[in-house]
Amino acid sequence: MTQPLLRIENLAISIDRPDGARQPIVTDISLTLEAGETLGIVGESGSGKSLLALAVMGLLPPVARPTGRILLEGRDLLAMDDETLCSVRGRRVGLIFQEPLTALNPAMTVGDQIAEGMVIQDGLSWRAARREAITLLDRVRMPEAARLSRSYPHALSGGQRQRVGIAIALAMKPALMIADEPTTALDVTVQAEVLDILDDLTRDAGMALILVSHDLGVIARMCARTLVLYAGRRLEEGLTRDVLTMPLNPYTRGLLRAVPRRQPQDGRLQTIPGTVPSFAALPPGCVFSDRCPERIDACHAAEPRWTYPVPGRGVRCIRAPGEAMP
Amino acid sequence: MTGLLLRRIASLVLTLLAVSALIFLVMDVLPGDPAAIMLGTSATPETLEALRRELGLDQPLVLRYLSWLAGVATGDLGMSYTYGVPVAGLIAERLVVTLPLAFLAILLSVAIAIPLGVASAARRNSVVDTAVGFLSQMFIAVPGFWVGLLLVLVFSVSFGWVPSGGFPGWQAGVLPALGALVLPAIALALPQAGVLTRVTRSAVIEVMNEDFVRTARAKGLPRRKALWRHAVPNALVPVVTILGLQFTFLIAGAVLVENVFNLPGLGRLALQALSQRDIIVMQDVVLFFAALVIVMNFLVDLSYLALDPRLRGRT
Ligand SMILES: Nc1ncnc2c1ncn2[C@@H]1O[C@H](COP(=O)(O)OP(=O)(O)OP(=O)(O)O)[C@@H](O)[C@H]1O
Ligand code: SF4
Ligand SMILES: [Mg+2]
Repeated sequence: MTQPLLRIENLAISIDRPDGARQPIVTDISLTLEAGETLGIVGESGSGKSLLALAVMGLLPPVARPTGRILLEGRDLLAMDDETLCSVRGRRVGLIFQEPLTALNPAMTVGDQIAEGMVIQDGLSWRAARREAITLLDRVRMPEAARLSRSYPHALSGGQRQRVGIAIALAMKPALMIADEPTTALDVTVQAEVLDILDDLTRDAGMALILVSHDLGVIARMCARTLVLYAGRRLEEGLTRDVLTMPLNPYTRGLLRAVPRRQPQDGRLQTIPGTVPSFAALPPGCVFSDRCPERIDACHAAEPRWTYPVPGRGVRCIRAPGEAMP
Repeated sequence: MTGLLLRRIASLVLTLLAVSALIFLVMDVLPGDPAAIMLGTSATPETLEALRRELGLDQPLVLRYLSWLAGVATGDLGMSYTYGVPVAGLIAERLVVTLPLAFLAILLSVAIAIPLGVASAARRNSVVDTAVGFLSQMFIAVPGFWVGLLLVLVFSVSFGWVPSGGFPGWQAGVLPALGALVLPAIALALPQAGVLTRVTRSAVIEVMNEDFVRTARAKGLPRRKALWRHAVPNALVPVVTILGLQFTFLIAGAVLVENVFNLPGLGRLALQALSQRDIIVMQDVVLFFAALVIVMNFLVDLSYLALDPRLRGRT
């Protein structure tokens, strides 16, 4: 078997609280991603999606303490010093941020922000890198790429800024692209276009893509595989097609009912009742048990194990069908 | 943008006018008759009256103000009562000491404050940060002229590296002249550097948490490069603002420090003129200081345009 592009083994991330205690957030994440594969990570706000994305960039905030292994092309990111990580960031793995407004430096032209990585990491001259930046802006379908490359972020619209964000992440042709809610801050019409660009570019370049979103609709459209996250735990994983048509976890079913459809069965959307519990006050046993419509007494007894009911399909729920070999 | 510039220049001129009127009024109510001081105690009332008429002191206040203003506008600053020479020449002579001194002090305070502030922000809560915090506190707390005396004790009296005071003039060569200005410039710069260090530190700490610094890191920029290329340029606006505000204190400090170091600068000129009631010199020098401060603030406003592209393209 060849080495996968990304292999996360037993990743857990806790946060140092101001009172000195450690609050576990992300727990027991394992996954593999082959070159060129697309994986969607879906979960409600606060489920730990961004922490997971930042961990794969080696950019966790200082208060975050990761354990486990994140193997990118066989090398453990969590064991690397910062200098080595710098050579990985941008070149092997690129990140697109959620907020195109704040993610760009207001005092530097967008062309230079795209060119910078190529100059500092790949040793290109500024001239060559700026020319390359214009080509990249063209590829993210920026109108008047040459002129706009010399403008500052404030002169661009939200959609244009996010294209710049994609061009920055794309500049050094990473093998893995991580997009952390790339369209959440955009208008609906612009959203579709930005997703389109992202889809085309990663497909053309054969890049693997991890798309983080709280919107199952976005993931259904973009990703071959889906991982459902809740309170820092994976609740379900599998081919997107399978997860959507045959969800095994009640939480996934709840998320599905909350996706807008062209013809709603009963005319309105259902939401999952209740709110995400805080990490300091998780219910005993299954983390979803306080909101789960299918809860039984046994759900409170102990946290359900991660099981593989069907090969290539993972779920965490005591009521899911029995385990098969992974 | 040109509209903005024109508006700023217009307000600059108006401010100068208001300041000039204020200066003139204050000088007028100041006790002491210049004519009496010039002629000494033995003067007769007749000669006093004649001198007053000659100096134009018998004219009404508004007329005197307008004629002074007209003179200033045409470059004629009047004649000094005590030196008997044109004030313009006096100021020019002293300016070659005070301007280099102020410039050197600004340069020094920036050269001290930016690296210290950035280093302390980058290693927050470390030993470096604590040491820098202590140092800047010291700079702020200890008066500049006292630092000046201390510097003289150490570097001229004990080591003999630089003169303890006086100014050889630029004709003596650039190095000896600069040597005479170094200690006074340090004395002027340290309190400024203390404040600037703190401003730089807090501005950089704030910017370091911005998303775009993380974007820079995601490109693979090392911490240092992300700091200097992305965080620091965006932290400069508050630093430059404080620098502009401090300029007033720098001028005030120059008056003190020039006297401590016995430098023939504008500050000394102002103090001498004050003690001799050479009102015309005082008016001109104070107006000149005010103009310097106002122009400096104008330059600070202009620098915002260079530092923050968001302000360009708006009017
Ligand atoms: N720098 C930090 N300091 C303290 N707590 C943090 C920090 N970053 C994340 N957390 C905590 O970790 C949890 C997960 O945060 P994360 O940003 O990963 O969520 P998310 O799934 O990306 O949510 P969203 O959809 O709102 O972006 C949150 O509950 C938050 O309280
Ligand atoms: S374990 Fe129980 S509470 Fe948790 S998802 Fe399954 S049925 Fe719901
Ligand atoms: Mg997030």
